[in-house]
Amino acid sequence: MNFTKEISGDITIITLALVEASLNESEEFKNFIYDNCGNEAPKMVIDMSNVLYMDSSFIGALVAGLKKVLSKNGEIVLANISNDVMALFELTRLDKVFKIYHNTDEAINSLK
Amino acid sequence: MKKKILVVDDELIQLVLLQKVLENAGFMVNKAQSVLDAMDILKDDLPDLIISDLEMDQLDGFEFKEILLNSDKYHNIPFLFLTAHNKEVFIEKGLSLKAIDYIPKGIPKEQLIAKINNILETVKDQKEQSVNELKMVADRLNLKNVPSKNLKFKNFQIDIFHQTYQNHPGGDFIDLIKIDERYTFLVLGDVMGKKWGAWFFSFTFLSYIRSAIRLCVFDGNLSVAKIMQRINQVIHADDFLDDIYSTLSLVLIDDEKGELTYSGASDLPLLKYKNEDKKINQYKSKGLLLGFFEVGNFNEQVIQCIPKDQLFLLSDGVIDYEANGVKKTDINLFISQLENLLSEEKTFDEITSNIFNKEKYQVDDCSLIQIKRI
Repeated sequence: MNFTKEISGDITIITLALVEASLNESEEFKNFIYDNCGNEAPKMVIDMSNVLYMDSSFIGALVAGLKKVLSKNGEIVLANISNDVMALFELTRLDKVFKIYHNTDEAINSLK
Repeated sequence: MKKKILVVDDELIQLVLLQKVLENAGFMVNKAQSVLDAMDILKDDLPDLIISDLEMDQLDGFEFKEILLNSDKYHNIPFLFLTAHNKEVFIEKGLSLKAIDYIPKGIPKEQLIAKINNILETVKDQKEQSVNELKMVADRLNLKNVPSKNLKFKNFQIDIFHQTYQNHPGGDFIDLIKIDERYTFLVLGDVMGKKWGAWFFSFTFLSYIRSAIRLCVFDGNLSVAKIMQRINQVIHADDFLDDIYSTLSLVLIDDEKGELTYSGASDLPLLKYKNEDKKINQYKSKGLLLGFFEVGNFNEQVIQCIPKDQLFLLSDGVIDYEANGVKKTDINLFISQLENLLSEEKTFDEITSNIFNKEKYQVDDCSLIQIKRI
């Protein structure tokens, strides 16, 4: 599986098993987030520790997922972003759009 | 790049033998001992061809083919039956499933490889034909997201490099909107996504951008930050673009004063090469992705230029590349390459042919615009 999830209380932790997150997986990922949105105020942590490269298609899917979750008064936070992906997020101000944490523990605590 | 084949057979010996034959012929092989295993593999890895046994426990080859035909994601994958039966069995069931390709078990390996190559070649030809037809229609409708004509300025020269990805149109879009002899807007956007999907939406974004610029100018507003916010507002309100996002660099060229004003939405920095000190400076904008928030936090920066200064706008395809099978995003590498070439006074054509070459495999469509103060 490209993405796995585990539930901790009311928080869904999604782990990306991909090293390169790109167009091929973007639609499936967007649907994965949509499917896990539940009814109201979903809380999600996305663990990106495996991802070393992310293309604009996948970023688009991530942003679409965030918009969906925000529309339900929920939150998506990101954890364990690699230096290269973080550099891209900073360059394109996506670090201002997403809440980003060093590790999943910090990310989970932020949602409690 | 090696073609991938998924082989499905419940007999392990048959599976391994076929794998060996196919790998020796230069294919990459994934193998599955049941339809359920095959479906698991397909979730993560789409092959160029599936070869499946007909008779298997639980789900057989016909049922497998039927599942694939009912799936938007898998129904176009070429499919080849491997069977000990004659064609009568397909006449009974297979033809209704569009299962027209089969190979008898025990076929000599040369014939097997020839058959596979034929199928893959036909698929490639059909794809190329479809793309060419779409391109012809787009040309006839005058649908262009990159201008075919350049504009002349007194104090500037603009050069545009745009390269498609795998010969497919993509999400990058460029426009030059001349207001009068003094002012011209330069637009570079990138719809997130690749190939035809992104290309299609680029026209919607371009229409909004052109309209917003014209309407703001009619109202006497030449502030690029305010124009960006106007563009952002309409895109935010459009449900059609609900989960489609685009970056945007917007530059107002003042040909009288010889200066530029720049604003951006989640775009890459504007680069300015000062001929005096042979260095590139980055101008980072503050604006967020078009349409995501109702207010996009756009700022604008006035950039003074003296003759021989060169400015560059770029899409993300410029800094994304694949080397030794690994994909990377590296703006610093691009800047240092560009700085070196500019200090050697290379022309724009020399710069682009030097940076975008076969050694640095492109992974997206890419656009680079040079604005040179003359």
